[in-house]
Amino acid sequence: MRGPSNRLINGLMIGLVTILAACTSAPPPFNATEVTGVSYGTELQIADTRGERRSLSDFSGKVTIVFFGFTSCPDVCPTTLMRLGQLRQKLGADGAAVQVILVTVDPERDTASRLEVYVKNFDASFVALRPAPQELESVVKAFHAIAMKVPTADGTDYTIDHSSTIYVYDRKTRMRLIAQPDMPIEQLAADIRRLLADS
Amino acid sequence: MARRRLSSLYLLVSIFFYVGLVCATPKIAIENPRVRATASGQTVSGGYMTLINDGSTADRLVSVSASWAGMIQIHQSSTDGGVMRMREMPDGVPVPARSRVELKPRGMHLMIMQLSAPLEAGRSMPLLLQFEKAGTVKASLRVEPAGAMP
Ligand SMILES: [Cu+2]
Repeated sequence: MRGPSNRLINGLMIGLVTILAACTSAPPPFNATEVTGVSYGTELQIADTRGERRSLSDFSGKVTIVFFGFTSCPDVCPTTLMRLGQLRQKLGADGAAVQVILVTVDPERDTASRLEVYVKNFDASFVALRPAPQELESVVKAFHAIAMKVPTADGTDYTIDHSSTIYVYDRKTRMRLIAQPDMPIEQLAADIRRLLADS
Repeated sequence: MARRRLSSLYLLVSIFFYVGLVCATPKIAIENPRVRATASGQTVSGGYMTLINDGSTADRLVSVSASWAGMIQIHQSSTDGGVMRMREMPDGVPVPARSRVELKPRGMHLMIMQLSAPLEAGRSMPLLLQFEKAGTVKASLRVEPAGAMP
């Protein structure tokens, strides 16, 4: 009589452990840093290259990727844009549901037409936004980002130190992830597939 | 007799001297020189390459010039703490003896400014590299599409 009851208890224990494990196992972490619920970068209101004010809700239904840059940045910014283009290709058919947005930190030199040609050179779907020079500071602040003019050594020109962070929004335009642009494309693609699937 | 011996000794010494001079002058080779294509309106681009010093003497890339760009500087990019920075390297790029030094995206690059015309993918752009010891080295930058820069 002891045998079967022991077996029953064992069975119940195993069942209990399985249920507990199922309850506590959170989904695996994203490769990028999850920032769901943060108070920064929750909205934007910036003119596009046609002068139309765009907000995040315009891109609702897509996974939106926002980052700061400028067209006179010869190295890091174009490398990031190129990699985001490759990301869309890597995602195949899902790539159509990904919107990349470049926000210029150099509205003085980056005219609307210059920005338009620049981003389309990387991917025809990319969008560029151009805050007015007097708006730039508040836009950058709203993302807890930085953008700082630095004169070149000979003083004739300037470059801009700026945040390299990539901000990723889900289909409901909630900020979900932040990443650095050197993150392996495969890892970022895996995260974006999850965001596309869960919202 | 003694005089002839002296002159042949002189000849021998001078041959050794010149051979030594030629061998000691560092030879720098340039591998995979390339530049990113630009869109119209853009006046700045990034150039990359690998500098190869097979010699036993350290050298240094001190300046770069091209007829099609008003100014070319040597820059270093960094992205520390989530901030992208770019600074001129005023002392140029050291190329130690028997070494390969890579100028590559998000690292050291040629900051090519004041472009006289957009750089079209597929073209080749001549470039002059000035080294401290090796002197002037010619290279030809391959213009790569912005969306597929290796
Ligand atoms: Cu630079």
